[in-house]
Amino acid sequence: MEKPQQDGRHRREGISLLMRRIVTRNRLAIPSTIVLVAIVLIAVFAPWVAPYDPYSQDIMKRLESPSNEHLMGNDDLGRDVLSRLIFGARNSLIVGFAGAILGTIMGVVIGLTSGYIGGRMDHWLMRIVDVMMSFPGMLLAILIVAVMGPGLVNLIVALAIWNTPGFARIVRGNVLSIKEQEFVEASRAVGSNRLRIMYRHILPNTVSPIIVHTTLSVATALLTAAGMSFLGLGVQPPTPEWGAMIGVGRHHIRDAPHIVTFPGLAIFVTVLAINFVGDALRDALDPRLTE
Amino acid sequence: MKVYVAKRLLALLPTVIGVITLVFFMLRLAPGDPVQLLIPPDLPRAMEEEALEEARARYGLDQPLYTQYYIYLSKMMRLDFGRSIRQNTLITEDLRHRIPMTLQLGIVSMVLWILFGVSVGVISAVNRGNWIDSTAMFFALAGVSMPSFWLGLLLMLVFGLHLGILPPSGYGGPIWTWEGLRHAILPLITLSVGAAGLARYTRSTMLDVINEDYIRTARSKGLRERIVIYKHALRNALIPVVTILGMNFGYILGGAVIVEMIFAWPGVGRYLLSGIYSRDYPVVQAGVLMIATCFVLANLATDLVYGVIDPRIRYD
Repeated sequence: MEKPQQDGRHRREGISLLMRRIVTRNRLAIPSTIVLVAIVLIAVFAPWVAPYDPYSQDIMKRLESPSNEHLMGNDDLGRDVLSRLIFGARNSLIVGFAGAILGTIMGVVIGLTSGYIGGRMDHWLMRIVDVMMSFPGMLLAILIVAVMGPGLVNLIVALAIWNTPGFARIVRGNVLSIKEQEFVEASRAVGSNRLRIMYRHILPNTVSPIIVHTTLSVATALLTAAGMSFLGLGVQPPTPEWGAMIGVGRHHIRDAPHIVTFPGLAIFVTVLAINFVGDALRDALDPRLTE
Repeated sequence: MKVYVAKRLLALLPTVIGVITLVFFMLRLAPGDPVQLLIPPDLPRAMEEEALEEARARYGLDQPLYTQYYIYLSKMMRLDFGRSIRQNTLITEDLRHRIPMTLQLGIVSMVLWILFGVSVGVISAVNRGNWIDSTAMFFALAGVSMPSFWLGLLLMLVFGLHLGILPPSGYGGPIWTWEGLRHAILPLITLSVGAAGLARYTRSTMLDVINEDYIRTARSKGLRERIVIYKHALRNALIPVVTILGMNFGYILGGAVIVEMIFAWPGVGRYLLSGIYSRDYPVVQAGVLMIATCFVLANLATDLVYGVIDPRIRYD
């Protein structure tokens, strides 16, 4: 009965050491986390936080500048920009996180299989990954949405597929070095099957690069999702989403720049906060930086 | 060297064929009858059946899948992209005008990326830990987090509409003419914000190199700091930087889709988007393949430059 307790203590100590490292190395990590948590809370409690209904139109207030009544002004249909921004956080965050996390899962499965099983399986999986990586930037995501049609779910699928090859490569690289180590051989010697070795022994040892990469890819997924919605290929109006709000506001940029300014600022602050947290995690988890 | 280039070009073939194949099957996987996508969607019902039959025959869609794939592949290899459904123009002809437009933006902003990205990265690494480093890296992180389409719109608003010192959008001729350059400045700035990522990367490879033994050796034998940094450290730090330049060019090409749309720049990206909006599938197919091919070629070019910087690499 003693051993698990000890394990638990080790883990707690490990986490507190990690936290200490994050805080001492990156002073902006804590404020960024607070900002991020605040944004997530606002998104979750949107109906209670938002001053107005994000869909209710008031054509008399069309393109009106920010005022005491409407802190961020009104859009082209007279809807309250602040309320749409708050509800929009839900869609923007869901797409960004879901796209990145789904991509991580698919990438991990492919990378593990490819790296551990090797041989022909590895060869063909990596050729597929090569082809997927020949689509520059967001082009693959654009193509997928062009084929499947725009919409929130399709956008998430597109982002996930777009995110997969990068993860597959990283995980595969790590697996290749880990699978030669003694503990894997030991496990094989006692008769563990492939799946158990892959998911119980190898996967936990690749967790830190995966965490770091996932965090940073949430940021890029969020940016890409906003870009796609901006182009009209993502979340469709009238659903509030930050990128889509900018896409609509673009046509009124001369008369009502506030419609474009605030959602852009929201994207920027959110992505910046995620990147700060990601950087801090990387600095803390990267063994090369450990003194 | 020639043999090496030829070998590398041959090695690209499977990737290009893979890309072409993927695009082929994706368009076939589109929900609904693909023929529906090949005729204008707003046709009167009476004409629809006839148009469907005609399109089926014209695009060989009445043939079995493997024959279709073969016909398609051989057409693509001859750069025959067919006609646009909407404009009825030859797509190859359209692309010929548009590729140089996109490449102008792409190449100039690549140069800007290298100039700013690498120099900011080096300056930061050399000043590690002091205020210059932290300021530069703060701005670099801000640049990485910036939605480029938003920045483009803000630039357009401030410099194009409010101050009126630069044209807000459009193409003003080749970039080496005065008017052309004026039109290109805002799109170029928008595309070049991504250089922030390159700066971050350069800084980290530079820091890795500065900790190496041979740098300590260079310092301890009394070389001046400038020579240590620029001759010994930078040259080694640049090797990993160069390997990701090809990927960065891809990022620029991908970004060009958005930038061309915002600034009404008549390049391949805007062409592709117009194809997507009007469900003009031959155009989408050609646009995607063109951009992907440019990207693959850029990666090849990177590999060649790589050898110039790193003499350890031999071309045989």
